[in-house]
Amino acid sequence: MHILEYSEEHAAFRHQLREFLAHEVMPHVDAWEEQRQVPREAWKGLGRRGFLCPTVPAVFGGPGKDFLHSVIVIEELAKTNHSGLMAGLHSDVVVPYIESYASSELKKRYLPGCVSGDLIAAVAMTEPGAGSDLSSLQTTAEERGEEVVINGTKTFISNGISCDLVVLAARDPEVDNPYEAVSLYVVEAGTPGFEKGRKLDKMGMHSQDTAELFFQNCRIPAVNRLGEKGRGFFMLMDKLQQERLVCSIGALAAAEFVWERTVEHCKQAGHNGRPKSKAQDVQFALVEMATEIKMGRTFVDKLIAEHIRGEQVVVETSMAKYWTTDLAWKVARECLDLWGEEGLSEDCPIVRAFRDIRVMSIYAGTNEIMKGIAAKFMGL
Amino acid sequence: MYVLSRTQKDISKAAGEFAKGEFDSDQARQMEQEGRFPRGLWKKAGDLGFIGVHYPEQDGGAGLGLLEQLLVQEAWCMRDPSLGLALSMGSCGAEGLLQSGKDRERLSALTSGDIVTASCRYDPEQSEGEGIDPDKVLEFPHVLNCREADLFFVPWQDPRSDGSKRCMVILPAEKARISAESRTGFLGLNLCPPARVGFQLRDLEQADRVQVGTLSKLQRTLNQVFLLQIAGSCLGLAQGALDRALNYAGQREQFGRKIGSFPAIRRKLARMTVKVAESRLMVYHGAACFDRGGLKDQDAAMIKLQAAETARDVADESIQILGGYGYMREYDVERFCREAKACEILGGRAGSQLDAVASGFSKKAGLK
Repeated sequence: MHILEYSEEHAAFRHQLREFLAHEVMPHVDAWEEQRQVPREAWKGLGRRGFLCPTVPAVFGGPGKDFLHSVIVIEELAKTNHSGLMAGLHSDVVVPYIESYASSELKKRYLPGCVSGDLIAAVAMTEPGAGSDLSSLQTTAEERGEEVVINGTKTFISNGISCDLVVLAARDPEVDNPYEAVSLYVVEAGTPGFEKGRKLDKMGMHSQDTAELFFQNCRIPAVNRLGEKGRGFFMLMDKLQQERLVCSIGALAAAEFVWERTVEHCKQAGHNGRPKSKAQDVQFALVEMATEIKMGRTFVDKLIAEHIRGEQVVVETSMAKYWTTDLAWKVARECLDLWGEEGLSEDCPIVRAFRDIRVMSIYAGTNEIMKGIAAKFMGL
Repeated sequence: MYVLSRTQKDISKAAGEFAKGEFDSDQARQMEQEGRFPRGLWKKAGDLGFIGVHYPEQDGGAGLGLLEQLLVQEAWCMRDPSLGLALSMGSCGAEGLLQSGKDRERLSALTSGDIVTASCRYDPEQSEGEGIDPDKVLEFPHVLNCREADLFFVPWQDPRSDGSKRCMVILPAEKARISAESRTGFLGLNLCPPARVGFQLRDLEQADRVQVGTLSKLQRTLNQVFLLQIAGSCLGLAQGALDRALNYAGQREQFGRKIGSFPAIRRKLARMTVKVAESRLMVYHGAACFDRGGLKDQDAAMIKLQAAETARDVADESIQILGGYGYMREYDVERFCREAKACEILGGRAGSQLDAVASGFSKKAGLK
């Protein structure tokens, strides 16, 4: 029995996406990795075919489909073995802030572009001094009548260089309680006072343009605030369930990808003519990994179903984020071993996956933070 | 915890000071992308007597043991993982020269840092050409430092003789046909990258031979030295990664306190400390046994396995402790992590080391 009920329409959607990725993305991935950038055209390509923001309603130009379509996009992108085209972040983490909290005027202005890929979105929470402890963020937003003046520095921002819109968390300097001080704003790229910094040089995710963002007396219209003033923390909390779920879906799909490619490799004849998969230790290692992947799949699919039903599964998604990202890393490490010294070369696909997967237990809240959240909700 | 002599401590300290003064991590990150061996540093290391510490004095060495050589490598790898490893792998196979006992010139060129050596660790994987055609090329995979090496040590068996006539031959770089094993670089070891090297049968036949002892004995020695050198480097990688994690945990504040004061991080650091101490005991003791002629193959395999896994785990946890910064190349712990993983893969994955360990008890357990 399948936990998730994919319809024929879902299957067709997945098929179309796979075709698109095979022809329009996969042939370019190596070049994007080297150039440290995914071209804008790739985003537009995804958008034109309805693969961005699957859940945005038709009234804002969106496909108006269910969250399972998002799941399909995240899974299939994970299997392209690169992290530059981070559609899950755009569609299912950042855009939902606009969709849920922006005024209808802002929605009309931004959502159609987010759907078409003409506007790439990023979210800016982390700062050099505020990582795990988000409440210590220092970026300020002073509301002066019709205007908001923003000052501060954000870092580790995915899509940071290519983004056209940033959902930014900033505090009111007049309010002391951090949980009442933070508001969210949409800042457009090109606004005077908003500078994109250098592209960060990372262990992996080379095609992903992670960057620092600087705001210096950056003035935006007050109407670009999302929701009520001072409610930023609650909005963030409200959206973290989906963010963690998105991370879990991506991590699990990455683990599946790495495992599948390694099985293919192990089934090929080795230089002594005997496939590695005939060796008992290799068999056991692959079986153990497959078992854990299947257990993870069961858990994650259940959470997807519950999330779609609108249930509160914040504790479980925190657990899933920590467990699936640890699993993906473990699978990457162990699979790489199975490639032997061939696994030293970047030509081995698992090397890139290894470098890319390492950040999963860090981004969107470290796994230590996930455990802390779960402990808190469990009343420990 | 291991008792080092005053000389040993001095050597370790001197190597650390050399690395502190000469290693530039910004440059190392750049060199990693270019796949370039630190030739200038190699020369300086040679001038200061850090190459071939374990070779006899008459051969240009310091007349000390492999333990002292590993102390140097540990200190280097602690300071910079890529430079440390490249310098540790710059004299691969050169124990072959020692065995022949008549190659003073090449040895002194090596110990003074004028030449670099490479060792073909595996039997040829492919041959191009038929039978005993002198143009036939034998290809050896995964040879470290191919592009830079001036001399190659190659295990070889004359196809016209019976199986017992295996020997080790020495070939100069101009005879080597090198083909890249990657288009875009490597997970680690980028300063001494592996490549495939081919030699013509004609050249193998005419090459200088290392005649002393049997090949299997020499290959065993070379293999033990290689495994211990990886282990010693891994010890340095683990310590270096741990030092960076400790430094960060003692400075970074979140939630109004230093992150090192949180029990989860504190214990993580403590666990890393225990693992590094285990590695150190095994590596030092194993090297001391080697120097006294009493190291078994299974022990060398065990030490390499333990030290590589420790480096891998400790560097991995260091990234986690540094968080987003740990993932940035600038902070170097990711490089420790990649180099450690490369060392784990190098010389055979866990399975092959475990097989070597198992062959040590097979007879006793009645499995042979």
